[in-house]
This record gives sequence, C-alpha cells and structure tokens, in this order.
Amino acid sequence: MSKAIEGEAFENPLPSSDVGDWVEDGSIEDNASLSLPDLAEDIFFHRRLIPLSDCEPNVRCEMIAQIAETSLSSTLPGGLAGPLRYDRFIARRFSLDISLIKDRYIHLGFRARPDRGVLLKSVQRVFESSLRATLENGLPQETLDAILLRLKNDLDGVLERDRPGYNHRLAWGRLRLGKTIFSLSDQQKALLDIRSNDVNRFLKALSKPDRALKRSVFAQGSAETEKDLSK
Amino acid sequence: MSRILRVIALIASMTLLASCTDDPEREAVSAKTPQGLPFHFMPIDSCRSTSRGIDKITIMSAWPMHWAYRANNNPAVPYVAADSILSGGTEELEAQEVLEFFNDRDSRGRLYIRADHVIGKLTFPREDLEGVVSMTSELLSKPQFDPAWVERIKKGLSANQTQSQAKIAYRMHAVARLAVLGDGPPR
Repeated sequence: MSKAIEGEAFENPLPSSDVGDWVEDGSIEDNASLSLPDLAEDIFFHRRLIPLSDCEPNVRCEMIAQIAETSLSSTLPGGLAGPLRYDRFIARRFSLDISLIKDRYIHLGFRARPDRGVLLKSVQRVFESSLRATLENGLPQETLDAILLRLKNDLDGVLERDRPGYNHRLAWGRLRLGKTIFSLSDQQKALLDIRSNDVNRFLKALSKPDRALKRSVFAQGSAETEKDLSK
Repeated sequence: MSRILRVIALIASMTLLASCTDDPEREAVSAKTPQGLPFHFMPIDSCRSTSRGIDKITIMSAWPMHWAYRANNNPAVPYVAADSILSGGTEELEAQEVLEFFNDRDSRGRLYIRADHVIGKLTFPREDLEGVVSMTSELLSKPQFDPAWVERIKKGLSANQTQSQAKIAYRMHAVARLAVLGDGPPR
C-alpha cells in the first residue's frame, strides 16, 4: 500500500516526444493592440517562450520553476505584486504562470487588469521594468528563504490520509500534459536540494532572447481605449 | 464584535487541547463557551501529517445579517466590505505586510457573504494561534476601508458583474426569475 504511493513505484508511461520542429528558431516580438466587444475591462497579456537551459528537465527543475513563479507573484522584495498592486495602484489583478513545455522551453505567461484610470501601457511598462530588474539582479535571499520554507510547509502539511489523493491529482495533472510523473515524496526530496543560486540561474535564463507575444486588449467603447488605439 | 472575537479565541484554545485526539469517526460535539455561546467542535485526526506534525485549526463563525432583506440597502455593499476588510491592512501594518504575515504562517482567512449571514473561515497551524487570532481580530474590529482599496474592489466586482451579464446563461436566469418571482426586469 505505502509502496504504491511512493515515487519509486511510478514509471513514465509516455516517451518524451520530439518537438524540435514545433517552434521556429530565433527570437521574435509580436506586439499588438485590439479592441473587443462584450469585454468588461481592458486586459494586458504577455506570453514568452524561452529555450530551456541550465536546468535538467525533471522534478527538481519543475520545483525551481514553481519557486520562481511563486516568488515573482509575491509581494516580497523582487516579486511583481509590490510594484504592480501594493506600492502603487497599477494592476487591480494579475496572474503569472511559469511552466516547462515539453522539456524544451520555459513558458512565461502574464495577464493583468489595470486599476481605475490606469492605461494598459502603464501596466505593461511597470511589469516589464520590474521583471527585468528581478531577472538581472536575482531574487533577494530573504525572499527565497521565505518561499522555500512556505513550499516545504505546504508539502509537509499534506495529511497522511490525503496523500493518495494528492498524488492522484499530481499524476493526473501531469499526464494530461503528457509530462513525466512524480510524487509528493519526489517533490519533498527535490526541494531539500534546491539552493537560491539554482533559482536565480533559472531566472537569468528568462532574460535570454526569446519569442514574445504581447497583446493589449481593450474593452470597446471606453475613452481611454480609443485614445490608446489611435496612436 | 470584540465579544465574538474573545469567543473565537476561546474556541480556538479549546480546539488546541483536543486537536490531537485520534478520532476516526470525526464526531462533532456541541458545547458552550463560558459566555453561553453555542459552538460545534470536531477534532480531526490531524497528528499524522506526512513529515512533521503540523496541526491545523480551522474556526468557522457565522454572523447573522439582514442587509439583503432591506430594500433600501445597496446589495453590493457586503461584498465590497468583506474584501476591503481582508485586503486593506491594519492601523500599524500595510496591506502587503498583512498578506505576508498570513502567508508566512501558512494561514488563510476568508469572509463569505450569504443572504442572511456572513461566514468567516480562518485556518492556521496550532503554534501560530495567538498571532493569527490577534491579527484577525485587528482586521475585523478595526477595518481600515482605505478608499483606494475600496475603489479597486468595487471595480473588480463591477467588472465581474458586467462580464457575467453578457453571458446567455445569466440572461436566461434573469428571465426565469422574472417569470417566477416577477421582481425585476431582465438586464
């Protein structure tokens, strides 16, 4: 019974498929504005695909990506929530996603809804400058310490009786994406081995030339919208 | 409010005493605080967490509320108020400091608005009982209602409403409501 829920019992059922031709080589920046009806408010989207390097695609790398995502989403120093939501009222709401695509790429997705009276281009400017600063300087040690401890507590806090359910959801979530599967104990082991340098090296990789798509989507009809689109 | 918060602290401390009881049946017990307020207590077998014994305590409280039943009241107020209470910080701490205080302690607090009650739910590890309960007490008893936060929350609520109203399912519900209850035009 206990063997069945340990990571060692898992085998990867899917061969890692070759996706070499999925993405064209070279960097690209696709920046556009559009206006849509039936939209309650303006939204800014930003998605990037960065070749994965400096990180073996395994449970450890997945955990590093998760730490990077949580740190960048937080209000702690180096996080984006400070400059976007708390120090100033720029984005009413934002979400950030960092994930590994097919063992080959890092996907960084960002979307934000501005606070009242804030233009999308201001959201974009603050997002890009704050992200660039953190990628260049790395996350402060105290931020990484806090995030690592929180993640450890999250994993350790899974009750024994909830463990099969946790592993089931984890495996199912990864299988759906055709990814290798691992268990809670694999995550716990991998986390113990991660140092702040690993996370900062991963973040540094995010500033390499990449393929970026940015969209400023305006709710049709707002005065700010029309002013912005006419430029 | 402060009476209720004292009761919450009391319930929490009583939960603490019994939280390691091995009770696979999860039986709920009815009890009364010394002040005479009834509460239910359900110990859950929480001592066997995977790696270290993190015991968590969850307190749920329901405050009766008549807001939705009064025609002159703006029905959106409780939703904006609940979010503002939890998001706006305290007298001493900025909003982000309160957020990180809860995050550092793996603790969560929510207020759910119902037609006749506000339901509060607070979850935290047993060793952080004192800090989390007193911070929550501060948030509930001295809400800041920072105008900038209220404005932000109003914008969010209004955007969600506009987005929902654009959906066919919402409009169908409004038509059904008009047909059955006759209490307002579909919008």
